[in-house]
Amino acid sequence: MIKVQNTTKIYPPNLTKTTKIALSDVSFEVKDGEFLTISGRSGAGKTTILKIISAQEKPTKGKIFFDNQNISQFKDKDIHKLRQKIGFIFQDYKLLSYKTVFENIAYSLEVTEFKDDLIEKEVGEVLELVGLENQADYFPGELSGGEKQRTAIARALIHRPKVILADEPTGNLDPYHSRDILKMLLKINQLGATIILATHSKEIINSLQKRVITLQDGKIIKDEPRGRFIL
Amino acid sequence: MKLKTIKKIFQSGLNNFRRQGSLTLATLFVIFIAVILGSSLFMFKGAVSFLTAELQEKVDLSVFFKENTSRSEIFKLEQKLTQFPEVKKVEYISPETAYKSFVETHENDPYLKALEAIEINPFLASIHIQAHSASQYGVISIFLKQPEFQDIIYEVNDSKRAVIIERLSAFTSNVNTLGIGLIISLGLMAVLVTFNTLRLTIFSQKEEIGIMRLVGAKDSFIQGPFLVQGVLCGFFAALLSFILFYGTLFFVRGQLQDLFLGFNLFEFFQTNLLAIISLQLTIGIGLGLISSIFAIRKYLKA
Ligand SMILES: Nc1ncnc2c1ncn2[C@@H]1O[C@H](COP(=O)(O)OP(=O)(O)OP(=O)(O)O)[C@@H](O)[C@H]1O
Ligand SMILES: [Mg+2]
Repeated sequence: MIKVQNTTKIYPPNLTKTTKIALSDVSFEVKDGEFLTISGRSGAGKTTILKIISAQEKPTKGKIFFDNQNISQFKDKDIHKLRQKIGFIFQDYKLLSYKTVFENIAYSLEVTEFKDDLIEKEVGEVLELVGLENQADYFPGELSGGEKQRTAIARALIHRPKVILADEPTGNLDPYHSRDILKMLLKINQLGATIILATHSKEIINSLQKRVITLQDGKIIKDEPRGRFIL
Repeated sequence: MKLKTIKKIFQSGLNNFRRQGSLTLATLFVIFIAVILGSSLFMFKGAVSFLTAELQEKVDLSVFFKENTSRSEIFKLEQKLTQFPEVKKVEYISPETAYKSFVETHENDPYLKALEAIEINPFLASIHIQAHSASQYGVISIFLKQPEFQDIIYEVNDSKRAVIIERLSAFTSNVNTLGIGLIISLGLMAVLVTFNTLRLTIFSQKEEIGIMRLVGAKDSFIQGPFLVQGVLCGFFAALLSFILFYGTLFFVRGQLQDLFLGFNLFEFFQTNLLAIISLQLTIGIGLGLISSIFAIRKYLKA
């Protein structure tokens, strides 16, 4: 379970001319196994929420709990334990450019000191799932946007994280591949993972029929169990 | 840490080394330069100390005595000379010894025939004085110029040598200043070049390290491959510079000997092979390790 309590995020922390309130007094809970969509215009604070949940950014005010653990109490050297429970999918993929598709995906397992022979098998299965079995030895620079995104998704799934944070995962994809990826996320959700998806796509939100939190200028303006695109 | 993890880290470091071509080349090149500088300095120091020793060994002061000077008078002078802290060795050479050594060194020589013809020993008794360093002969020759010795001394042959000695001491001190200057400037260069390359390295790795942390790698797991990569760069830089030195010295060994006044750089290289190899490996691997530690340290505390 993830709990965000009265959280405010101001960039940068000290007051300057460019000071920006990215989130203001945001509170919500996400239950295990839930599929939550965060919607809102560009700059509304969607990415900021995901970053705060995964301890990439510290909240200026407020508390975040991950499985009843206050994540601001994680020490620097223990952050990896939190991160291993999360699968990340970014709009800009964030693949390791000097590792092949196979190695990028396997890396998520290696960091948990997973068994070698199992790594081979599991990565092979996931590659098939995302349809990249023939590109296993490619480097990210040799892939199309969609293929990179599928690699990133495979990496986010492979270690069966409790939570998947997906930031605009379909932003660079055509409608055909976008649908594919949404289907995949729904399937993982059915298998028990919690999904938090940030998007400003009307089509995606309306077709998902899941809980939607709508943000505007860093505030939650709507939180509905079977939400629709309202902006 | 498990053995399997160590293997993984090593494999990953090796992959980075091979795949990050331009980065590897840049790092390798800088370390290569540093290793070359380090080993050149080592050889330079070797050459200088050889030359100084060699020249000092060759320089001595010979005092020739008038024909009828008695052995005991010469002995008294010898005694006085050995009291000097500057004097390292005083050696007496009798006319007979001088004759014998002349005969030995001039076999089949027309001079020898001439010598045999006159049937007397024309050589004078002499002493050869060696000082600890070239600059100390001045003091000794001043001492020998005192009037009390002029009855027995036929000649102190520092007349020509004085110039050589002076030049030699000037040369020795020049070589030392040059050496220190060289060490300082080369060292500065190595540090500057390394630092700048490192800044580039750090920058190009920032993003990758961030991603690794994001997908849950702990710091030691991130650091390992970088260290392996650095050590590999250092090792290959050391290997390359060794090959370069060996090859170059081997091919120009003839010319070098003339240039260095008889000092055989190639021979020096061979007799000090172990020391040079360890020096090169130490500099290479040391710099490789330090550079990789510096390159990532900053980004592991995010
Ligand atoms: N590192 C930062 N420094 C300063 N301001 C920032 C930083 N990151 C985000 N912001 C600001 O915070 C606000 C919220 O940004 P955020 O990235 O959360 O928006 P978003 O909803 O994800 O937008 P988009 O749909 O364009 O990705 C924006 O106005 C942005 O300019
Ligand atoms: Mg965003």
